[in-house]
Amino acid sequence: MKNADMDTSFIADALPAFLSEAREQIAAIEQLLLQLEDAPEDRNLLDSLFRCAHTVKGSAGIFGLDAVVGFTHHVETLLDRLREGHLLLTPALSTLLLQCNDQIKALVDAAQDPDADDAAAAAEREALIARLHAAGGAAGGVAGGAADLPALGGASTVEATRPAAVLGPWQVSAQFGADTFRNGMDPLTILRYVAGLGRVAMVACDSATVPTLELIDPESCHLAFQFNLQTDADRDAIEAAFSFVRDDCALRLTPPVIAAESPAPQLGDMLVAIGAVTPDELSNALKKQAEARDATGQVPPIGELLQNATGMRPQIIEAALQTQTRQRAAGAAAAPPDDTRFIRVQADRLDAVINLLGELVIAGAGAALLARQAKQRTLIEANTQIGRLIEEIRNGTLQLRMVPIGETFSRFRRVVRDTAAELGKDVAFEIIGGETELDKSVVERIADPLMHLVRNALDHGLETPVQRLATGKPAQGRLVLSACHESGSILIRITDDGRGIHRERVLARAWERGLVEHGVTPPDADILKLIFEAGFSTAEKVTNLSGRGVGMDVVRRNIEALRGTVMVYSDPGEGSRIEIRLPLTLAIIDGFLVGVGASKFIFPLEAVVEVIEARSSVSKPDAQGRSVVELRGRVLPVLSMRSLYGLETAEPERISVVVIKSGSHSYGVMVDVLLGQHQTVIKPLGRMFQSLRGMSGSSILGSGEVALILDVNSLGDFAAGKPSVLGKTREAANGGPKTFIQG
Amino acid sequence: MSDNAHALANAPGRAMSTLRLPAELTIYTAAETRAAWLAWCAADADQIESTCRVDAAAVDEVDAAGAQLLVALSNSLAQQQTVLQLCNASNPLRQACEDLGLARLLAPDGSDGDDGASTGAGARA
Repeated sequence: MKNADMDTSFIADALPAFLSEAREQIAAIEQLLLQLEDAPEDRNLLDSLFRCAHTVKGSAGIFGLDAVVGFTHHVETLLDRLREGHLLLTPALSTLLLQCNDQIKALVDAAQDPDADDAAAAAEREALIARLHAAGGAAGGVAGGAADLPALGGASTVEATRPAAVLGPWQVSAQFGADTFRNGMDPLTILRYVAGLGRVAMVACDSATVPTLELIDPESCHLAFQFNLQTDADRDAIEAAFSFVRDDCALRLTPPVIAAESPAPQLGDMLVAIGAVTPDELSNALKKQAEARDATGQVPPIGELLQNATGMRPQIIEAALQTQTRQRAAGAAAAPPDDTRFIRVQADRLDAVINLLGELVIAGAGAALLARQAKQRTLIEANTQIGRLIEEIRNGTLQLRMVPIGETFSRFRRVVRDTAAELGKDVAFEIIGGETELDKSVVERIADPLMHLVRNALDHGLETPVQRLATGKPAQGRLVLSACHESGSILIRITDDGRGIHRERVLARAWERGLVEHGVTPPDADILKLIFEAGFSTAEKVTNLSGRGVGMDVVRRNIEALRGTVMVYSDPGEGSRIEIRLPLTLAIIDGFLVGVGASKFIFPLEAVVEVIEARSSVSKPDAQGRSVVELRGRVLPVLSMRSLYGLETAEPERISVVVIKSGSHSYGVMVDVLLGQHQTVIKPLGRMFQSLRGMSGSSILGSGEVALILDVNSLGDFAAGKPSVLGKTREAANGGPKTFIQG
Repeated sequence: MSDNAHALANAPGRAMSTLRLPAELTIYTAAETRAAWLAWCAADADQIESTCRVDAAAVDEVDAAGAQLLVALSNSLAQQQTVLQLCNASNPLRQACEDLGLARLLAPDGSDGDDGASTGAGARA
């Protein structure tokens, strides 16, 4: 009875880990299937695909999730036939497998929430299983089972041309430790067991490790072996064979290599082999590479040259580079298994560490301040050193939270594929800069807005092939999702070559909805920004995807909640570009500290352009504290913090104006004292202050004071008098203008 | 065993006798086996042959420890430019040698050992 209880609690504890890993495998399956659409015969991908399904099935079995095991088994069987070369991966089969993968996902989710599964889903699974069987064919006959799917008619030819052992053998090197015999283990038994996993060849015993008869201790083990193992088992299974001697045995497994001839294939050759470039293109690129090297001494990467010359998609090069790296590692002496390069860390533990580091930063600043006040040089130096170390640790820890945005981007492939098919559009989807990294929490929160924007582009931006041909464009539309770092932020672009945004339609709809005063034509950039207003949509039809007008304003709000900005650019008839700028991390800000009266404020450093001492030239402020100043021939709106936030203290003799640039606005802010650069941890404002405009957070200074971090975007809107463009109807409705604070 | 080997075994004036491998060549008998072989080697200190043939027909049980001892013996003999050869190896010993990549120690079947060292490229498919 007790054992059963322990089992149940073990399962309950371990289930989250299983679910998380299973979901990763399922996501990997989807990615692999999408990759395989471009390279349906890639052995490595097919093998990985099989292993993912196998892993899900195996783990599910441990947890007694029979439904998952049962269904996944059918998928696994088909995947096995695929990787053995008995079946060809056709687009139809690919779609079927994607649907099956969705079912597996649903079943895994049902493991967590048993009520989620129902009879309809079960019926769907039955149908899928039937299709899987039809596609896989009867057990022994490939040609026989191909009756339903004519695309598989070529399967028998496929089988004839494929060699039986498509993957090379594993190379195993095992050096048994001295205590092997004493621990009761016999290497002979172990080797025989390993041989049972497949086919062993070229066994070699290294006699050099064995001493002579005179010197040898007969009860110590000095044996080392090397052999090749041809097997279907994966690394884990092979290692498991050595599990009893694992602690005492130096085991090295080198995975099989695709190209038997060359252990370290050249990138160019690989690309020619998969047909991405022709041999002529390759030799041209190599010539250019040599010329560049002679001319500048620098060798441009062959991948770049080929890409520029042939317009080949970057993903192909990336995939080839990854395969090359893998093969190089396989050919090299010691290749550590992939799993040891990463450690799974619980996200909240990492957050706790980062919080503590934030406190450490503040405490360190406090200590440094006291040291300065004590005016002891050695103490100041010691604190400076500590401060430096703290900063390094903090930067390093923040790096731990960085994930490449490509993982999120890749999820969109499936969406684009399905949506484009649904809408009858032909779309080439490109991802550029997937390796660009940003903070994990930012990635998570930007995924949904991005998805919406991508769907929008597909739905409204890109035209159908017929429409495109009519306007002289190629039938296939292009949708590019790109990311890069730009001056301390990350820049994400969604670009399409569709029909663009029609200013007139947007304006007409804005007049209609009262968003803009009728007859008034705002500047071009502002018209485009109107699409982000709530309740706005020029779509004639409300589709399933978009057109309800609830999307774009939520998108903008989400982006701004991340301290980001979103801009739209568009050429009618040519296409549109949406640019999203996000800070690299939400936790830290490089700030410019200023003082007004007894209060302290922080501006984001990248927004500060300059500071001017301009008491006399500032004009008289209006009711809301706004005034203007002349700066190099241009008029600059100036805000008074005193008026904005009702600060009571008297104005000093000399005031400074900090010039801020946010988006396309420039404006100035009057402050009393400049306190310099200050990097600090951002503490979010509590829920009580959510409606407070103009502030995006707070920070604790070394002295223990709280400094408020200013939201330069909303201040900019206020300075430019923005609310009146939109707010006329709102103001009238709400009975007069409100103060800045109350929003 | 060939006539040659018998002759060697019984040649008058020669202290050397053909080494016979014991029935049990395992970790359990490793220490005593080593002692016996050392004694045998010492007795043949002045006999330098290019090939040292041992009688391997009696081996019934063998494990990696026993095989390791054979390798140690072969290493010792190699220091005197002598090659170890296991003649008429029993099935258990033959199998163990092939599994452990030591097939080079085996004499080819039915030969009298004069053909030289056996081919060591044994691979169990």
